[in-house]
Amino acid sequence: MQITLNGKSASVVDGVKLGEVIDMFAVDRRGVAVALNGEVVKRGDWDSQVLIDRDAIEILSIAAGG
Amino acid sequence: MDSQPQSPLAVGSHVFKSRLIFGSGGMRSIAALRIALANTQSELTTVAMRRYDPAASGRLFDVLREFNQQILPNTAGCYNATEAVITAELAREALETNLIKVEVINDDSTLLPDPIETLKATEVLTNKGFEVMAYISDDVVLARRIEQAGAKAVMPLGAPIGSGMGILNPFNIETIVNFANVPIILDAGLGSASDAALAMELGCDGVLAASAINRAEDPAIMAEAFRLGVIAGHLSRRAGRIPKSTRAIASTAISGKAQFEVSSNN
Repeated sequence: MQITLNGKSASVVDGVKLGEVIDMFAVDRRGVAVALNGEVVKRGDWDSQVLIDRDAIEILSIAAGG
Repeated sequence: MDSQPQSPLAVGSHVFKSRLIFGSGGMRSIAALRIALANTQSELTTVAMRRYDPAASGRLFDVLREFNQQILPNTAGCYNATEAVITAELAREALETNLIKVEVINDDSTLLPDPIETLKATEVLTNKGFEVMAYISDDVVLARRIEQAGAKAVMPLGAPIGSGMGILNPFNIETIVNFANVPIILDAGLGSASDAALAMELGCDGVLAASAINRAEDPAIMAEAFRLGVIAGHLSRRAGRIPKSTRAIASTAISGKAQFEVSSNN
């Protein structure tokens, strides 16, 4: 199935969990936050959240900013 | 005088020994960040929330932790309250802090804060348990409304972001301070350490500096200058300046002065 990950299309296996996608994308989970279809997903729910086709995921972290 | 050169800054439930907040925006490198943190001796550093960058995100996080920084996430780049609220929620999830600097701009040319959206975001985020530090224009009534909406600190600009023009309306800043019951942090537009000192002399509780340090010819020295400027201004305010007078007032007593006979030929 297809998901959108930080604005780019990506193919993932059916039934993949959000936490698995995060671990594929981010070096570690510290300082990372995730929105799924515009809603914040709490850290404790990452590993149980099952993704479905066309989900849009934003994985954010800190960057320099004043 | 207190043994400490400056008294602590309390924002909501947080207390900081330094009254200088460091803005990481515009920093040239991680190495420059380390020097700036060492030289400002700040305890609170702002960051933005952006898409995860494996090359950069972890290093910034590690340096801020190494220097024991409390991280102040902001909502930079948001144009409305809705965006600001979700950005704040993501920041809280990422950093496990309830502090948020609300920054909602109206256009990307002036970068001036949108008062209505900022007020809305402050209300919503306060109700969600955030401790809001709100970036606003130097409007006296808006500052009061932002405080009434629950902000734990109000952050009026001195001048537009990155302009380096200093404090364009000192009267407004002083009036904001005089009516405030929460800390007033001068944010944006400062160019040099004397601007920071002036902010503190006007009664501000703290100063946030980013571009003024990070874009200086020598950021390491400017970081030190801002640290000293904030301390000098804070002490100067506490000391109580002499009143301004349109007449000269002699500092040397006239009594006891010798009288000399002066020939008219001289």
